[in-house]
Amino acid sequence: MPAYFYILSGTEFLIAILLFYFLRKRSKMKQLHWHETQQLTRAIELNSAQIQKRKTALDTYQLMNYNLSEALLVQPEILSPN
Amino acid sequence: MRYILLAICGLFSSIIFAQNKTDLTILLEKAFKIQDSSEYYFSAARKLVTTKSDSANYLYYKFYSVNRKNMVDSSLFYSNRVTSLLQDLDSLNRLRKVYYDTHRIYLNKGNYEEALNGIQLALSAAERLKDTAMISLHNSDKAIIYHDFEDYKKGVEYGKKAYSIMDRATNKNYKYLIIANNTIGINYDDWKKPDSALFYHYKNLELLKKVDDSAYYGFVFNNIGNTLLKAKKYSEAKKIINRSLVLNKIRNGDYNLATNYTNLATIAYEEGDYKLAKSHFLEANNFAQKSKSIEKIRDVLQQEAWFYKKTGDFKRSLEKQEEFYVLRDSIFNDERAQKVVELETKYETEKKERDLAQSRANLAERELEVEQKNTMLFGSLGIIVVFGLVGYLFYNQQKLKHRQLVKESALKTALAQIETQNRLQEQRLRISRDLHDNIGSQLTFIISSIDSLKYGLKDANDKVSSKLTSISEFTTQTIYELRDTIWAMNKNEISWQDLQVRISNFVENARKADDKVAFTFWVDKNISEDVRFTSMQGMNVYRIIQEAMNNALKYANASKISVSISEENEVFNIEIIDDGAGFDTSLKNGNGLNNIKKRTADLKGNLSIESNNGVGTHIKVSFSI
Repeated sequence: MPAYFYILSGTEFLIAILLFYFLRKRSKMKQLHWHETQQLTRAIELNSAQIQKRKTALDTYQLMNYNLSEALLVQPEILSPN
Repeated sequence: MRYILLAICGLFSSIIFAQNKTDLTILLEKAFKIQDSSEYYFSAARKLVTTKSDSANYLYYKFYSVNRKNMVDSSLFYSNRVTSLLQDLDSLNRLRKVYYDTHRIYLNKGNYEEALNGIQLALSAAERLKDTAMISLHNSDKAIIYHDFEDYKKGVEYGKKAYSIMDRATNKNYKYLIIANNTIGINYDDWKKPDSALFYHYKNLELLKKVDDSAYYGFVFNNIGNTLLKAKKYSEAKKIINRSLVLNKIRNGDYNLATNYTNLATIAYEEGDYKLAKSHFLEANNFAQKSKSIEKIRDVLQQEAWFYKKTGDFKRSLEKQEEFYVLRDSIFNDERAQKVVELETKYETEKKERDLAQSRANLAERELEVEQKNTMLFGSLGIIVVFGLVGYLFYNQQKLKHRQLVKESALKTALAQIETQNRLQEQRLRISRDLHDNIGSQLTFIISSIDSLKYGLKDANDKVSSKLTSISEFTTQTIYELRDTIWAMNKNEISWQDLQVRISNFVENARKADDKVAFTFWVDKNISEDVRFTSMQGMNVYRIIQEAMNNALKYANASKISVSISEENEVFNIEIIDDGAGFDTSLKNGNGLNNIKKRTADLKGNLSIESNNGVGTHIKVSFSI
């Protein structure tokens, strides 16, 4: 068997290993990124929901009835900024 | 420890071995140089011979030692032994030398087939060594053998080959060109072609100028003289042969001196000087015997036979002629001639086989080179592909990582912003709520206290009572304004639709409260639904309308109240028109109108109030959003 046959086989084997390694790493990176973005998106959505809730409560304020106690809805789960 | 001891032992062994080798070489060199003690040194050296290489070294010196003493049989004995060892050791240069000197021995003996065999072996070794000078020299040697064997055609052929090899060589050596020319010349000379012979001999005279060694002048002059002699140019021949004789005497060359004296003797008897001729023949015989060259002895005998024939001494002439024939027959019998031909064929066959083997080796080498090149090529391609792929995959990975980082960074920034916004809003709301709960309850307490005071001061005059009522109303108004402000502070904006609905509800409630009054609420359809006010703007618009309608209901007893809102070039116009009692605008305004003015100022708008007693009131507020 000529030497270049072994070289070609070796190269193919090396390429296969490299592809396997990089594709696996890429898949892991994507998975990790997906988790990260999911967490961030959820946090943003939570904040948006809290803002929306506040806004909705403030919309219930009647300019004739002055029902401010109902409109000022406190959300205890929100921490104050430091 | 064991390894250290082994290493020390190995070191000592190698030192002893090296010392042994050095001692052997020194002894052999002494054995060769110091002829008187030669046997002693050889005997001492023999004791140091341990390896095959040592044996070859010993026999090599032994061969040259006996050869120098012209011990023909011993020389051939050692030659035979040393060549087999040198062949095993593949020591080509020494092998070539031994073959060459063995060929000289056979040549002197007149054993041309063995001489030819020896020179062919030497030539093969030179060819393997790729030593151009020696290849040329050994071809010249073959030319001499063929000359001595009287095959002049072949002699010329090999002489020309020798010349051509040296002439084409990059490291040209004129010495070997002279030797080659000489062999061509002597072959032509005895082939009875004196002109050709002289051409090559004279060519040598030119080449001699390029060589420092004077030894070559001796035989070149002699050969020219020899050819001139055969051309019967005796005086010219004698002159040049005498020059050769002087040179040969200096160098003490027996063979050449024998040739010189034979030629001089021939010239002498051709010129009729028999006494001188006899004297020269004596010298010629003497040197021919010394040279131990059968060929030379044969030449002298032939010339002597002719000389005695010329002098009329037929008996001696016959004796010399018979001696000559005996010697000649010993050289030129059919069997030997056949052997020479066979040797030549064998040599040519071997050479062809060697050339074929060389071609095959070259072909195999080229195939190996091609394979190596292919290997290199594929190897390089493989490396390039692998590195390229690694680079591409790594670049892609980094690109993906960058994209992910950018996205994550954007999300983190958005989260930070929304979180901060959310927390700040929440904090503001909590403060607002505290404000509402604390200040609001305190103001309520003030109102309740004033009411209690009013109740307690039933008998107080109207002025005090009115003042207390005014304070109570003011405080109530303060509570409302506080609530409005807190609400507006927490709410960023209010949409046009929302505001419109709130105003509409207010007008509807007013209509329900007083069904005697005709209320109209008109809104310009061109106002975009996307218009948004700040909560403070919305609040002020609402309160202005509320205030104006309250005034119209409470103080003007209007039967018709209309509210209209329009927009032109982003300027909002709010008009409240009633048909009530109206009032004198030049007089001091009440709280309601002051509030309207204050709120219009907050809107950075323009207020116009048109009213006269009995004709109603027209209030118009314009502001930009």
